[in-house]
Amino acid sequence: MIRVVTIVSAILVAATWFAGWWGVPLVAAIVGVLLCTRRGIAGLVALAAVVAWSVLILVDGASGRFGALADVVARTLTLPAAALLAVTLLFAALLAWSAAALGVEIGRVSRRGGE
Amino acid sequence: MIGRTLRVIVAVLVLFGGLFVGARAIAPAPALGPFLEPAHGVWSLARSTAMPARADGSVPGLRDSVQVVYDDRAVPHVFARSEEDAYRALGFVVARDRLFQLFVQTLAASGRLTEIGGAQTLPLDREMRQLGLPRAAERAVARAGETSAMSRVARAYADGINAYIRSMPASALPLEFRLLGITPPEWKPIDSYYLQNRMGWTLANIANERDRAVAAARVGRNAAVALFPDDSPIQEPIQPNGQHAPRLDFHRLPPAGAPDSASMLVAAAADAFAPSQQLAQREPGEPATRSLASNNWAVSPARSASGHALLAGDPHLDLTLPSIWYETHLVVPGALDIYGVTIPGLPPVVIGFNRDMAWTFTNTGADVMDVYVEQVDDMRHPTRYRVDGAWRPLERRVEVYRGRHGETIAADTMYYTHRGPLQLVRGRWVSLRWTVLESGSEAAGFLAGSHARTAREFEDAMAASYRAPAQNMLAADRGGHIAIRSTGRFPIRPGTGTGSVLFDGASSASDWKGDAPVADWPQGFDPAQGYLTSANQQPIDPRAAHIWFGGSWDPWRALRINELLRADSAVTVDAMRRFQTDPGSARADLFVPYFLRAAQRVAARGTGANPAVLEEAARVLAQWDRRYTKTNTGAVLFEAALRETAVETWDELNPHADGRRLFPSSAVLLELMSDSASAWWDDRNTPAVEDRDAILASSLVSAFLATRRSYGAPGGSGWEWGKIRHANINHLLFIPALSALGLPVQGGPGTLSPSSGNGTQGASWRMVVELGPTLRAWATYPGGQSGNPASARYRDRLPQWLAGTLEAVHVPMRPSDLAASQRSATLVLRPVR
Repeated sequence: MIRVVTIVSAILVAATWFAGWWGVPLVAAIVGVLLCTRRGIAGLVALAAVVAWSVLILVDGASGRFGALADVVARTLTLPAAALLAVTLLFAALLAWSAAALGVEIGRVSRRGGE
Repeated sequence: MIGRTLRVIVAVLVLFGGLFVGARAIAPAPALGPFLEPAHGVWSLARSTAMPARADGSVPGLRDSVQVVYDDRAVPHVFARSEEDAYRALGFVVARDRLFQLFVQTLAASGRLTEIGGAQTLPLDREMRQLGLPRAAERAVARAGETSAMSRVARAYADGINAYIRSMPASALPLEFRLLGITPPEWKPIDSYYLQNRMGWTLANIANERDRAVAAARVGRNAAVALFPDDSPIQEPIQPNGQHAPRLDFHRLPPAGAPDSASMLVAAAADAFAPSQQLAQREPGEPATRSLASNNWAVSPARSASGHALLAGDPHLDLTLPSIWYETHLVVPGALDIYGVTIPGLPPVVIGFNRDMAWTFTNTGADVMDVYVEQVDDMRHPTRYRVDGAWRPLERRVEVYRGRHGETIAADTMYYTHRGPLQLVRGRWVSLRWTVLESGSEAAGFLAGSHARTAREFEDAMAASYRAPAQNMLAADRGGHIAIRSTGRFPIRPGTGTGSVLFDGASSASDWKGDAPVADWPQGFDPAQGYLTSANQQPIDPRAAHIWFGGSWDPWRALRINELLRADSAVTVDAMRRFQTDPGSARADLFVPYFLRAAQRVAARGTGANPAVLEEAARVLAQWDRRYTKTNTGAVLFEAALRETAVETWDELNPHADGRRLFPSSAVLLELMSDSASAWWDDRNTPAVEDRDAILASSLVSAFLATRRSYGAPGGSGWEWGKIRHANINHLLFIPALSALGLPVQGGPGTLSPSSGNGTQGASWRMVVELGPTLRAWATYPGGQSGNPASARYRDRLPQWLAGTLEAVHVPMRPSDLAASQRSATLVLRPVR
């Protein structure tokens, strides 16, 4: 499980970096199709998305003004900073889970068709 | 099976929901995908909140490499080998720090805010376009030609901005662009001209003439002229008049007469071309635009402690975050060495100094806007207008307002006579002539002025090119000379010379006869008194002038700074700094005795309604030191009393069916004080006939009771000025989280650092320069160099500004003059090979 999450997280980091947010549902759907036989894969992909975006946010946070930025953006959107962070990770998780879940179904249907 | 189907349905809904909110903005939230995504979205902005210690860039058009050294105040010192390269680099660094400001100011100035704000911002855009400001910018560009200095500098500056936009990493896209879901467009040289015109719109449109016309419609023309006079009843002009004290030119105010209904057309016509913001700002005793003013003064070597000339300037403008100003230093060895502030989008340094001299401005408030009633061939669809019996074609221009996606939101057909834009007002077509619409060479004046070696050279360079908005230009040099001149176009009109009437557009005799020559402009060079001051007061004694040069502001700041300078024969740099936020008030000094004497007289007469309260209120007011410090507990009572007095006194003018409140200036109220039995004192709402003392006493009682009700016991902490009067510095998009609101400040109405109304205007830049063998300068402004709200430089200067302190500025001649400890970053810009 850890290996899957780690690998998928790494792929999601790269996908987000190069393709933006669209990379998350895209990669998640592909992983869902490829690993459709694995039980609970959609949840693992969602977890991987949270890990991937957390890593990217940590990279941003290393700049030193991350707290000020989080505070300013959160107050602009009239949210607590923690809630904004949670919304960010939840957004990634939901996109990843839903795309992976559909990928799993597509994978299963196509496998059944192949049999 | 059912569970699986349900899971698929939920997954589809979540996915499509996520994709929808990810890709599409649902106001006020931006599209969440690009906004939240951490690699390039809003979180990545953290990576660009500080300039890296060393960075490189390339700019097309650069002839040589340019080194930009940021000092410990985040001021970029640009070292270039040609002036055009310096302005290219300036464009780059301004864009790096203030990209959104560049963008939104340009949209506002060109009447294109609908492109981000939709139909909601249409009235603001209409205001710009109906005044003809974008058209005037296009014409100014055409007049400037391809080869003029300003054209070349504007192109170079645009090159720099666009080079930054193209090279900017996705992570550096400013927060505001992300919130709006847009990207910055290419910058065009004409954008600088739009901004220049916007400054004209801000500063060259004065309310006094409109107020006078409205007053005439309520109380007759004679009374209106007295209540809203051109000439200030208190004279201490900018051009020294040989007096050693202010002169009180008080006259008996004529009583209210029969309404002059024809004046409403004058007012309506003036309103049609007035800034909506100006019409909205009304406060009893503080007519509109009173805070949008400035101070400057200079001291000759004979009156300075160091024996060097000193200069101070603090322009009072709308306070915004980021600030209207951006501080910079441009060095081109042997050609240019200029330090000061620019307006992001306008390449020249507007206020500042070079190695030899320094300069700063205040607004004259001259009447440079006239309205003409035109005869047209067709009231509904005019194509021609008549002048001297002959028909002339109207210029027609369709103004199209676009939405965010290029869709048409509205379209207006505009018409122009040879005078300017035409508008339908109360069933008549009226056209506007305005110096701002015929200007455009101002930036060229700044560029020429930046090379001046002496105060005189600076004044003459500006006189040659600068037209609008007319400014009181103060300069001082290392040779010990000080100079001031009200510079700009001052139209000469037919007839009585006043612009406060509607002119007959059907006659060319109504047109301007030319402009006042430079020799007639208010000015002073090395005066015997040893100092020069301007605080928007009337620039020249009306006894010495044949036309009106402006100055409809109250004279209180002018009186105060003259008083301070007269009393100090050895002025220091620190005194100059202290004067900028001096809490003393000439206004309070003059009014308070009237209140105290009125309280005594009314008490003696035994006619007051509430003698115990009157006695206590008078005691509190008498104990007040007449200063507006943050902890002062007396100012609030005086302000309330004066406001109440204005409301009770000017009841003949208010309220009115049209809802427009009208208050003569507090200088006119002081003039009225000299006539204790004037009919203006009587409150028409009471059966008794009140005189001055009755009104002052009752106002003081009302003010005391209201203040006690609102703020608690007299003298308590609730009465502290700093808890009542605040500066409110709004973000350009009025986002509270990005603004600095409710800031306690020292100063009140009429003090040198004025704080009035809603606190959104004030000293936008404070500078003191000592012109010794080596020039030294100190400065600050409310905000910071960076436009990035998460940057440590976004509002880092606010504490100094609030405390009235200044920072010593670094003025290196070469990069190596800045010690390592004084540097924060270095940027090297290279030509594109």
